Amino acid sequence: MLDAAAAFWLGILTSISPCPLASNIAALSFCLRGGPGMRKAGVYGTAYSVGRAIAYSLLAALIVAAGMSVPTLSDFLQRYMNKAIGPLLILTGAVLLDLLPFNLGSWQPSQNLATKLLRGGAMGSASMGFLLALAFCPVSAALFFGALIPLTVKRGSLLTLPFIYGIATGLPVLAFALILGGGAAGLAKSYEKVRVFERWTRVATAVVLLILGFYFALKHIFHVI
Amino acid sequence: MKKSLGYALLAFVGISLAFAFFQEHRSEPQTTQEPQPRQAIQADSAPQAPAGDKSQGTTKQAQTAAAKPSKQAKLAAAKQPIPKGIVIARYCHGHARCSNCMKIEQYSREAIETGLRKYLDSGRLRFEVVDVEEPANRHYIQDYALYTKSLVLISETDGKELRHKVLNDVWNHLSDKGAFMAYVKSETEGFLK
Repeated sequence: MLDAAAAFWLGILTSISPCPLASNIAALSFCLRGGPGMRKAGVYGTAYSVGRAIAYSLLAALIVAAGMSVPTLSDFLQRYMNKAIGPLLILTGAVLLDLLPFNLGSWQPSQNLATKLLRGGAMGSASMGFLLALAFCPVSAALFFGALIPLTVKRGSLLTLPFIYGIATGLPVLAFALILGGGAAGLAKSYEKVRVFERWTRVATAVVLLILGFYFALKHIFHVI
Repeated sequence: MKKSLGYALLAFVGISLAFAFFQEHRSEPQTTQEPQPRQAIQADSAPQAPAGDKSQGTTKQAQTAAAKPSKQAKLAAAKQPIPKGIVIARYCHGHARCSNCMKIEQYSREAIETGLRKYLDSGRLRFEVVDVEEPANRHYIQDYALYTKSLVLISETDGKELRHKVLNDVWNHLSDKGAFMAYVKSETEGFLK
């Protein structure tokens, strides 16, 4: 019980530290892309947290069960995932705004699947959570590799503690998604207003993702920020 | 308009990926690299340590902070005897710098420069800042088993490392500057004994 509480607290510490702020904003806007409604925001926010939890559990399994080197894994994730996130967010924003200028022809089914994943559905949120969890910053790396993994090894709790940690890292995003989603639902009472809100939240989400995508690219690829 | 914006975004993504790929390709470690002289911070106008060891590629921050010595100071410094056993406090970071990483560097530097000045002046202690994403410094990640930005104490004799210690608790003292400085000072003093 104490270990679970410790893992939970480490997750909260990870989520409220300043360095994952940009990815938290991206996640929050992504969880709100479905428009107003507490239920929708709750489902997407929970899926996002579960996606993060799966990513951390997988990493813990790679380290503890498969014996992967912590420095190697940490170095790889910090170097490459942060570079990948920028272009990924830009592409996501472009899909949400219908900006992709080409027809994928025979790849149409996969384009539809990608669009479905990005525009709606809990799977899209879970995938976003999974990817953002792998983009470690120094604080999250220190807490995950330096505190959670030793705790996991010590207690032999291969999946439970990393899963709890992952859920906790997504909680602030879930909480804010519920507040904003619920607040928007309160404002948009009529069907017409809901439709308008849906359209604007999608545009707002896409713009936020594009800005953050540029931020990540300029910081981690071009090193100009 | 919409189409042009889409093309522009795709072009940016393409350029970003190509640039990232080029960076990685460019920064592949060179096996036949010539050893470079070490640049680090000891006391003001401190002597340069012997060339050819692992700590080449020290970052710009370290170089600027070292208050570029004049030619005469360099000559005078070169005449000073280099102590056999030294301790290096090496702060290891990556290309992207976050506020906490810079805080760790700043506090560590301050703790060493103010609390352990006599060791810096005698040449027994040196503070270095290295970018472990530079090809020449990448080996530090495995050497010290680093998983995040870290301050490492290294005891060396005649350029050979005897032991090292990663001060992982710097992350726990970040919100309390006094505790951070006391921790770094006491750990370094312990290492100097």
